[in-house]
Amino acid sequence: MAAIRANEEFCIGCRLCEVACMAQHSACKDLVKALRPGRPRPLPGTVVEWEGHRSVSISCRHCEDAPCVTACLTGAMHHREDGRVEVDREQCVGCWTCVLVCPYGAIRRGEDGHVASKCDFCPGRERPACVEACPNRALTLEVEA
Amino acid sequence: MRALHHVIIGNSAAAIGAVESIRAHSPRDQITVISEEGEHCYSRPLISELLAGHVTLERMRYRGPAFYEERGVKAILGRRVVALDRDVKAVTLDDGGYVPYDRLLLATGSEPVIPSIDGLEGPGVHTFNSLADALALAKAAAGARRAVVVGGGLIGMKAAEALHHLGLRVTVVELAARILSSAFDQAAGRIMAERAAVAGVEIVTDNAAAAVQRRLGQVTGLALVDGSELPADLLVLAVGVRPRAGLAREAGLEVDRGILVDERMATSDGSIFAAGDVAQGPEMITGTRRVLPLWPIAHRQGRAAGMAMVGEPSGYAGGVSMNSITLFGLPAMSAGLLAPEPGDLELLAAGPDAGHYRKVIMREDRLVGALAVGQVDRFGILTGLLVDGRPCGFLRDRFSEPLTVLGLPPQARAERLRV
Repeated sequence: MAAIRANEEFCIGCRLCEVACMAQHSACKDLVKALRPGRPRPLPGTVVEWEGHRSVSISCRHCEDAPCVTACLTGAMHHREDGRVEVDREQCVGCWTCVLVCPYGAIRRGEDGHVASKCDFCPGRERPACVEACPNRALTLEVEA
Repeated sequence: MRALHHVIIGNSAAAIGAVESIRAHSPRDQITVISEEGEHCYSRPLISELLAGHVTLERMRYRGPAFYEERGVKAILGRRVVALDRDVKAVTLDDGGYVPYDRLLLATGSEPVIPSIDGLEGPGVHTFNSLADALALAKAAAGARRAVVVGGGLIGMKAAEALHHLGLRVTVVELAARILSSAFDQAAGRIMAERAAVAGVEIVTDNAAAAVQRRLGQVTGLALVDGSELPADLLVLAVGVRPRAGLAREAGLEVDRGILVDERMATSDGSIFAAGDVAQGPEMITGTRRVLPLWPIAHRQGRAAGMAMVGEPSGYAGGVSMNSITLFGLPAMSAGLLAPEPGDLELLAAGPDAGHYRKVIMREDRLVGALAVGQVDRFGILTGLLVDGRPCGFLRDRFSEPLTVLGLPPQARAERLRV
């Protein structure tokens, strides 16, 4: 299964990954429109962290043995058939047990306060939007041998 | 190897975890699930959301309606196991049915502790531990104006919040000096109590119920041990839960508070396993065996039991107490120890006086406890460190900074960033 590799040494902290993710996950796929007042603001599924001069973009690792899936109180957090970890937005109640157990800190309390928000690996795209947008190959798509 | 017959008593998180792992490793083995509750597996922690009207009955489902069918599981729902015969390896049902097993999983969960209070018998007194409890309470609440919840733990507070949401005047009576004492520390209990009070829920601590007051059989109030009286139309008893270990005890299995199990979830009988609220298994921080009645642990233990039942390594190293709760809009989380023991170091970020804070407890260089009120984002980074058991001395210098993966020591960071 392919995975997104975050390469700390190449990240320049430009946050284009976050921008691309938000655009991809907005209804209109257009960030300018998506951020107009009155619309629910999408949360990026990848987040750039800073420590001094270093930065890196962190998103869900889509663990095979995923703590969030096994801890989920409702069954909303589950593995898709393609192996990706996904939130069933209808089933999630926002108990944040997934936030409690994710060792990557890759799951956020969603914009509406009731649904967990995380990377969905851009279903339907060949490469996730964040990887495509990264100008410095700090995010790369690695295919497992 | 011939196909085995796995019999699972229980139909909640641990049972589901076991079914999933047995099926993942053994497509041929026979699986039978027996449950006293007649419903399809549902998410028990959601009963407060159901009571409050935030979720529908349909959304209570923990797994899809065809879960058992798709996995070739025979589900006997609405039947109670009345006897366990270890010599012939079979269980007897309350309708006389007889089910032989090769491997047996006891995932019978917990039951509410009923405090000794005069006048409990009769209508208007509820427990809050099952879907049936929630439906009964919802019905009773529809015609009630005042409720008293006895017990200010996680279940009691969620019941109080839901009843308050339904428009009832709610008072919580707690025996200890603070609410949420089993899952949070003193400061968190105080902040949550203040929050509840601002919302309009009265919290009475250092006090206990003495007698139910009734008129013509109907509940009119609750007398407390200090002599005061609280008017009420209905009462909710939520002073705690205890393992439903009766069957195991009668069958002569080793039982302490819960059924004693090892890392494989095996009981003192090698063909019998126990998981979830009924089990007393290894705990990671103390190294002792403890009952950890928590949903995520139940699922993980069930999965470990299922692995062991098909002869695979269980992959379970033990559990750590952890909780996430949101009360009146304020989220809080905890993992591991709640208060430092002599020699431990406690680090604070922000302060309880601000109404939100984070803290960790270090034992030498090891993280043994983490807690947050309000500032819960990325809390799992701490839980992960606690579960890893790796040296965490670096936290001393940077705990007030936001939690990041980048801020972890090189080895932990490399592991987290590895593909």
